[in-house]
Amino acid sequence: MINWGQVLFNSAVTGSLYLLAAVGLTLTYGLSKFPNFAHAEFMAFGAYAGYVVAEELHLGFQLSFLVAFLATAVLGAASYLLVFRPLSRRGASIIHLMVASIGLGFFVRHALQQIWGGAPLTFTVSWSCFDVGPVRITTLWLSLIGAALLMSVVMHLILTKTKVGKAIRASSSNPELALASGIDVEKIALITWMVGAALAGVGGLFRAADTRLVPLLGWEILLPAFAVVILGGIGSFYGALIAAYILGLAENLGVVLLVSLKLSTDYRLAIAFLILILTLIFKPSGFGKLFGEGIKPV
Amino acid sequence: MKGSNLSDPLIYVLDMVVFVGIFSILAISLNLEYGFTGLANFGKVAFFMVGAYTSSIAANMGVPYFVCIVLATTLAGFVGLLVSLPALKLRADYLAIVTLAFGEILRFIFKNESWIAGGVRGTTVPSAFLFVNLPIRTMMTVQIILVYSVLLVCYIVAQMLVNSPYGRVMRSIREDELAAQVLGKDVFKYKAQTFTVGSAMAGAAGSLFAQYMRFIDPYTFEPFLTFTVWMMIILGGPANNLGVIVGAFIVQVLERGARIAKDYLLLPIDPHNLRVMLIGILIILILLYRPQGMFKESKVKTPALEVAKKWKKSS
Amino acid sequence: MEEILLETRNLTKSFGGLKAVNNVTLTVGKNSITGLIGPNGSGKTTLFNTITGVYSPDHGEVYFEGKRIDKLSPHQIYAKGLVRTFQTPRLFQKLTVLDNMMVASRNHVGDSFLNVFLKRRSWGEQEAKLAERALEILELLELDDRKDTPASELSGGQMKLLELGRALMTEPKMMLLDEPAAGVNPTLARRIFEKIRQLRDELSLTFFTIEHRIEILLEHADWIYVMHNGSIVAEGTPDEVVNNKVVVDVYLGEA
Repeated sequence: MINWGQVLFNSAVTGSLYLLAAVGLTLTYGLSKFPNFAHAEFMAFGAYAGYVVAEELHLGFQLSFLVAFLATAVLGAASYLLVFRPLSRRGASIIHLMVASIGLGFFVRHALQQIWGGAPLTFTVSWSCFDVGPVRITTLWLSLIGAALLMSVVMHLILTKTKVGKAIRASSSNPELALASGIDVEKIALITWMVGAALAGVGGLFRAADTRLVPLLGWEILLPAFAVVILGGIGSFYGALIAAYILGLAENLGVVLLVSLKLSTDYRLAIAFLILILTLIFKPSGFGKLFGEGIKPV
Repeated sequence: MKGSNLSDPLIYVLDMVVFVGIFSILAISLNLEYGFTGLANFGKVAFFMVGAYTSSIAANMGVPYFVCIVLATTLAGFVGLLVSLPALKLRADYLAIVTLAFGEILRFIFKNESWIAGGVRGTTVPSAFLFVNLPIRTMMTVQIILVYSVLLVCYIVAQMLVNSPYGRVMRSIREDELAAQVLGKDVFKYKAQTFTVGSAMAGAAGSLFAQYMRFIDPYTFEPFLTFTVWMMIILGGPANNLGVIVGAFIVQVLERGARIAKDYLLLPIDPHNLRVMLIGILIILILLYRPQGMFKESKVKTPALEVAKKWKKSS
Repeated sequence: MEEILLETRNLTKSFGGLKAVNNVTLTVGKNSITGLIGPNGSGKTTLFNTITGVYSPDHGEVYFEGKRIDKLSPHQIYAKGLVRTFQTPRLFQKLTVLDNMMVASRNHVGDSFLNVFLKRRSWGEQEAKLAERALEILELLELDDRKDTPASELSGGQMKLLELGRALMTEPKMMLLDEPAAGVNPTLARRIFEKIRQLRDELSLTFFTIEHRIEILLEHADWIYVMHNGSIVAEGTPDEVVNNKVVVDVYLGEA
């Protein structure tokens, strides 16, 4: 008997995590025109920053989210200002930018590993766990869904109602046009990188609290994050919003399938990979076009 | 890497020589794909792994080494061909994501399926050479001869390929795919063939690696390996086969240097972390300040060059 | 007109809501120099792109030597003998001038993977012959002293010439030239078109060329099509076109 309520709830949880992880990635990808593989380390960094606050300084879990957000924003800014913008200004090719992002990712990840070691760390915060009918719910998961919802509302308002937000939308989907329209794309880029990284950091913290904290934390969700970005259309926030929950649902349905086939549920990762490949083969521009956003594939 | 034998400095150096040889093969394979043809292959480790596992499984079944390496090379090449069919139609960033993901998925499968050569626990591998009771220095020398013979073959094949009309087409695809198409080149075919050859070479390197290390497990084949090969290319200078061999040498020195730093300088930092962080920073610096690498792209050396040299204006 | 070499029927290509090429029907006669003029943005280059397989048409057909080519990819169209140049030269930047020329050659034995290893002598000889031919063309275009220069180091005008030279190297039946003399000094421009005339006469080549400067086409073209907003608005001999009120309006409207 399949607990569909649980499947749906879990999909919302997974989708929310992937959304937080993917928003920054899709916006910076659209704007700077390359996939930032160090985005995985933005997630890990935020988790470690949160860990310091919650578990080493014992300042409470709520504060740890704020710190994760701010600290990772700084990392995002540093990455943009010290690595990616200088490279772009020197005319680096997309391949060079990708290689640099991988290098940056390795640097950050092993710095984290050097400081905290490779062994898994756990958050001692206790979450209450309760059942609503057949569905098991924890307050952590509810917070995650809540955070994703809050972020979506705030992002939507910013993107549609504020000047900065509209500039971000324009720059992520068509940087040249944005520049030609007089938008200070470099300033917008800095903001986008900071906010994108910050959200990833928060996502990473949720993930660490939900499972455990290891340096490879970000890599574990990087592939699904990319699947969301591509499915939703590069540079499209709304596309990512839809794609994240679709992927969350697909993954959890997939887990049900795997269990019934007596296969290891570890293979849920393959679902993201499958969605990624299928999208690239059949509709490389993803959903983005539906909203008039996203970059043309050629 | 090979345990207590490394306390002998000569053995340590010979060990490094072997590694340089194996990684040079990988570097040349990526050079063909990226340096000459412009393909963003971020999954090199996957084909290295296919070669290593194929060779190990065959060797453990008692197959003579010569056949093992041929199997490894062929299967890796075949997997490369399969991957290239959907992947090479994609533009550079998509190709990078897909090849990276492919490597991760493959490693994931090898970890989870314990019936494939021990899964997470890995598997021991017999050496290519059955006479194991000789002094270590002799063993090492024999290994070096094996590895460098394969390297020589790969180098010659690569050089023949790039110093030909075919090699000129590879470079034209790298420079401007559309122009190459309009001038009659079936770009997809060239890319697929190059990717297949590159994957096959990586498979050969994987086979050599497995029999040298005598043990492999999925943890050996992490994405960092792909990244170090990219480092070799960018450092040595893309599209220069000798250059990337030099690049392989330098990267090995850097990697080993970190370990020596721990042993002799008593640094408070784990050498593994130091090595990765160092290479990460270094590649960013190189991309910022010397993106063309150390050596210039090699010329297309065909009879056309000679005709050009002897050319005199007719008027 | 003589035998038709290239023909389009109701060719249409849109981007988004915009019809860049709108129901274009035209023919290019064998051995002719046919011109295509029109203001910027009238769809001339898009038309070329659609004919040569860079874009696939939304509607309509393209025929070359009587056979349909609109579903073929660019390299297959090259194989049929139809070759094109780009308005902004698409040279292989890091390759030398000579290498740029050599890549363009047709049916090179050494282009095939196995032949690289198995037929070394054969392609070696072919290389030498092709190199001679390439150098002759380069000499014609006054580029032979730059044969070892990377294409990225050429001047703008030299790049246009190399673009043209590459196309000549392909032994085509027909060439689609996209503003072959733009940005080149007037004397050289004149020489280029004289050369085109000569090639048409001596080698029975056919040319379909986009050109901005009407004076040049008046002197050399046999037939001219005028494009505006994606459609053909006029056609005829140079004299007819120059005196055509529609054409004058189209160009005056742009001024």
